[in-house]
Amino acid sequence: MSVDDLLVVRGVVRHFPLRRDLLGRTRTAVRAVDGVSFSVPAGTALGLVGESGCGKTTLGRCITRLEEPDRGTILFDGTDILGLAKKPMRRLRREMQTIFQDPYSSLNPRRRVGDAIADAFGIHRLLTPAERRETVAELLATVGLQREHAERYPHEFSGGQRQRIAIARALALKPRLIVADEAVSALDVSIQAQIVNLLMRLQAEYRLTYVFISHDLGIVRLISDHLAVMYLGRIVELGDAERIFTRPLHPYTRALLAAVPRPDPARRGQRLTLGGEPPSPIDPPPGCPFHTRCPNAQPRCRAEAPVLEALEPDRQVACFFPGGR
Amino acid sequence: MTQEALLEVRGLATHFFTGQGIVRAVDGIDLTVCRGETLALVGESGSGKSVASLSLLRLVEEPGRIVAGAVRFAGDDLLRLSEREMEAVRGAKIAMIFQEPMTALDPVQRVGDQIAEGLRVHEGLARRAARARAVELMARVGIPDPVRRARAYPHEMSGGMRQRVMIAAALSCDPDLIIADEPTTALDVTVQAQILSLLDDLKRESGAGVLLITHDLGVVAEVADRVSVIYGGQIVEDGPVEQIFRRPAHPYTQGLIACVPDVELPRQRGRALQSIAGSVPSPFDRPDGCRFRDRCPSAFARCTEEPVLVPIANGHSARCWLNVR
Repeated sequence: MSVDDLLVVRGVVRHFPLRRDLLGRTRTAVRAVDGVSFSVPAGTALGLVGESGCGKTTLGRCITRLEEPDRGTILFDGTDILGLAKKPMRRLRREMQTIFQDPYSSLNPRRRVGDAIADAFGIHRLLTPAERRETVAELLATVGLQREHAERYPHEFSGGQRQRIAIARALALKPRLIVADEAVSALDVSIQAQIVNLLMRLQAEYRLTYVFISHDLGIVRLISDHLAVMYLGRIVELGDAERIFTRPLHPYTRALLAAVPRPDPARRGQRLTLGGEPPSPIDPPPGCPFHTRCPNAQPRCRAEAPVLEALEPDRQVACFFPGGR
Repeated sequence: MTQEALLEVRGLATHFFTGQGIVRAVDGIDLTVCRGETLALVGESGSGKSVASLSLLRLVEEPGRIVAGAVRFAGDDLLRLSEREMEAVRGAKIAMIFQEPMTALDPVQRVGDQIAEGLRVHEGLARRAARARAVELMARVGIPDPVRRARAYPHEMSGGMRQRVMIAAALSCDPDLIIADEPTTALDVTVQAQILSLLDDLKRESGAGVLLITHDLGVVAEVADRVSVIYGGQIVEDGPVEQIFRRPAHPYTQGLIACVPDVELPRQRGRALQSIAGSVPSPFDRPDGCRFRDRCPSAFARCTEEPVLVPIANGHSARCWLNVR
């Protein structure tokens, strides 16, 4: 952790109870996030990757307190946000916005787009109506839409345009942190590229800090300075993104990278497939959570759980035999 | 290649007669699938690829209507069969696999019974024989512990397992043709790789033809033998998969390939991803002439005339004036 960190996450745990006993104690729970720590320096992007069910979305929701963690600390610009009361939290939330996968479900179909964007100001009462209109027009221009678009309804837009609207709305309060949860996953490839470019341009222009949650490793590599690889509620590899992409040390990271389809028919059949599926987060295996699928699992991996340890500068790995040793 | 054509679609047109006008969703397409071959029909949303696949099975609903063309399959023109004869083709000779098995499977019926149902209807098997065969099929598609899993309900399974159930159901009647509409889009890359290699193995064993409908060029490169690219309801390019990736002739195909971020490419801060300008035009106001011309970086005067699909090389053709000298 350094003074430049905008976001610091320490030991965050979020379990979803499934059944309680007579005394109201949790008997079984989905261990969605099971002790996660990382930090994100201001103006950088952290890529958060892993298979569905690994807890990356729950973690993203915990960061902005859309979900209350059971344990842990989240510092935003040095402020412990989990201790904040409703009012100061609402003030702080302006500075941390989320962009979701499906812009259609996050936009009210009966509100004009301009109003939907201006709602953000309304809630936080910052501007006069005239200022609001002008700012909406500016925001629309920033994301590549026109002033006239403010008068239209969400259904009149294509998926890519709706995601631009969602981005404009997120930018409305001049946030410092943006959590993008599969923000481009539902878009067509040609449009996906446009939105990725827009996000990268905005980051440079406004010095935004991103937590970029995605299953698309190609896009993650393009955007991320740092990378966190999650498996079954825990981070298994964390550090400088380029180093991890060039030389992944955790066998899960290696498997994930090897599974990415390459658009090149000449390399057909070279894609290595990881067997099986992630175990249930309700009943994770003992020892290393990855040992049931790991190609190099040893007896020790079945008995003990490895913790995230620094192996080299800016690289932590939770594995007893990193790099296949 | 002197392969036997299994499915020959010629001049297929499906239009939607809506209050706002006629939508020419599929506007005269030709497709050929040979035995033991995978043809990928590639397009973005709104391209007409899904309407095309539904049209082959005559599953288009009002206000959509097939207005022209022929669908030759096993000696018949499917468009001329009675509804009763068509019933016998669907699910028995041609099987379909969809993107989200959760919506295609009955949530209140055990998965084994759902697979058995097809066997009883189409193959006339008795209840017990059908059940036993269902378990065999589940084992064949790689579902562990099939006897127990046959008694599970769809929501008790992971997305990957549900897709295996769908594939088992599709295989139950030994189809000649499998139509797979975005079969791996909802799955993680790790599971995607498993499902694609399963489909490939099954195709090789049974000699069935596969029509794969997808937007994902990584998937295309992985499994397709031939590729047809659809844009604005028309095929704009088709050819053998190596040709399509190595020498794409249509600017749209070139753009699509360039849009896919390469996970192996080291990151360069500030470098934008290639994208295609604009978005897929609404079917109500497609440009006249070439439908891609207002997004095309190489458009010139002649593009206001409608181009035709012209051969470029062996089995490779494109609908673009740049290829006509």
